[in-house]
Amino acid sequence: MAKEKPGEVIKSNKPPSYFVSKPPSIFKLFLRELRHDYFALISSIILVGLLLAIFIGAPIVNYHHDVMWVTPQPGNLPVSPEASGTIFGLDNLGRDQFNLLFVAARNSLYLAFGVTFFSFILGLTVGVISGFYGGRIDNILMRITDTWSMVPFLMIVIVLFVLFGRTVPLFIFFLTIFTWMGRARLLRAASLSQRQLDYISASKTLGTRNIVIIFREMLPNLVDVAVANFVLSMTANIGIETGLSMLGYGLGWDYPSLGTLMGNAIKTTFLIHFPWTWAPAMVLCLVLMLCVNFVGNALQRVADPRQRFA
Amino acid sequence: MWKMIVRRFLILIPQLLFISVVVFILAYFMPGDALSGLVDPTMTAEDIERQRELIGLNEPLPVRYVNWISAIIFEGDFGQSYGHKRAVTAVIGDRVSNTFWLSLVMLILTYLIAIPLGILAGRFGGKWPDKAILFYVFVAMSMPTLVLGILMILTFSFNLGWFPSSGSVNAIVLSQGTNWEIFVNRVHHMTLPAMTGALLGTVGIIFMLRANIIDRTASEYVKLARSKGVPTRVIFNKHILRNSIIPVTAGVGFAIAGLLMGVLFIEQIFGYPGMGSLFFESIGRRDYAVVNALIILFSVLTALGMLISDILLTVVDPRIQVQ
Repeated sequence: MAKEKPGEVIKSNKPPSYFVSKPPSIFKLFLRELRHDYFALISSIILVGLLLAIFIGAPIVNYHHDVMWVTPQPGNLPVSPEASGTIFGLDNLGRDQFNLLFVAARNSLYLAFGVTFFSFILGLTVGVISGFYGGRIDNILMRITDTWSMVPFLMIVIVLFVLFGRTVPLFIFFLTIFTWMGRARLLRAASLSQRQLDYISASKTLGTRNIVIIFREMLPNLVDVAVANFVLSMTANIGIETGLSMLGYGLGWDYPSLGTLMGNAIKTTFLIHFPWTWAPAMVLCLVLMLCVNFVGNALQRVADPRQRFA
Repeated sequence: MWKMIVRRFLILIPQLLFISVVVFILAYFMPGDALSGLVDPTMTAEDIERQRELIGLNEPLPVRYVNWISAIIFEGDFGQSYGHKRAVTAVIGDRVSNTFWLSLVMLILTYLIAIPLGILAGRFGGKWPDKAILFYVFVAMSMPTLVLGILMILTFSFNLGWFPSSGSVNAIVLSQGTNWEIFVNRVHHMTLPAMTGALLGTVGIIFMLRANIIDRTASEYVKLARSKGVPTRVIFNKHILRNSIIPVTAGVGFAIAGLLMGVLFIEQIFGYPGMGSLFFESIGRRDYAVVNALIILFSVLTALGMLISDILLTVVDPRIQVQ
């Protein structure tokens, strides 16, 4: 240990280790929670496996075959797995459904992650400002949030897609500006309750600037609430994306997502006679959503100590 | 309390005006204008220009907004449908009752399923009934509306043949049947879409009811009742259940607001001729007058749903204050 000269300002803001008993990290708490919740344990294992398979598989598949290569099939009909010798058959454009599934799942996750991420940032900003400053700012921001959540956003988003075209950035942008309200409300409540605790008052009394208090002291205490909400809103956004794509208001055929594949089931002939065109995507989507929901629920319990099993 | 209700109503006005501004801006980007539904091939360019001048389409935007919104508020005039060559209100009017009945049945079914399950889950918190119900809730949470709709059609309509896969009433029954037969036929058509919406709509209610019951079971007043020797059954029915159910039923307005989004998809997938499928038809035909009117209508309904819940919640629990 370096000797401290009297009068020298201590640069490091780390308190000596023997002062602090560090609370366990959210990850450790999550692992502890998993030991008591088999559903969450199994789903996190499946989820990790699926994510690895999708994100490693998609580039490999793309490298070996041109997944989007279109060879129209006779009668514009899909080819069954037996006839084509592939695992999930070919679709009516001659694309291998098995390969397509990897790319579609990856695209769906990208889109859902993009929307979740940006709407989260927006919601976090509004929520934290609202909860921290309170008073009139809080009032105005919350009125805006309430009003904005009355807008029937699915309808407006569909209209916007029709008017301005469907590209990935626009898709993420439009969905972002209509899905941040829930996050804002939740994070406002969380930061409002932090705001009233003594450590914030103490910092204020010491004259710490608000911005420093928010970033250095309040945000770390919001992490667990935020993580749980982030994971759970992933499923909501996967749901919105697949819903829009299934009805043909998602991205075009050149950006296949799970929704586009499941959308095959909308056509009655496909629904009855060609189940291999939509069933694998549907099963994958449901398994993915279920796993994310179980993991998100376990994280939510981590965030709220009263609910914990462990 | 009355003061609060009045205040809540006053908040609604600027909120609805704000939404109308959003729709107006959206309409500005849409091709076509109020005249599109009136133009016919016999009109010359000068005629159209004269009409434009007459109904004020050449005015600046704010003036047009005021004209548009006052026509909607004071005359209920949403303009002319381009695709149907009729007033938008008439086009929507044909579909309103279908959507109304579907939503009502859906709402009732939602509560009929959710309340018993929520009570069971709360009563046996942590035991197997609770776990089974929670598993159902998670599956419902993970199920996109359209996927459940498709699976319902596949099983109950195509494979088992119990219910029709689309429409709201059989044309032959409608023209020849008695009132009773028409009613039965309508219910028959409505079952699948209503069940789809109800099964998915239960999620929030079950969660809330379960959490309420579990919270209250551990509360002081229940402990007191227990130590006085009140039988468990009485504690549960009188002390816990009543207090837990009231806020849940007061949330009916939020349930309506959530339902409306589901109705949009459900009507489309079941080919049910209501406002939701009208929206998709109109957007497909680029019939923007109808689209705008539907967006405004859905926002007003959502706003009213939230209003009902806010008021009910303060009525049943005066501790909640609306600013």
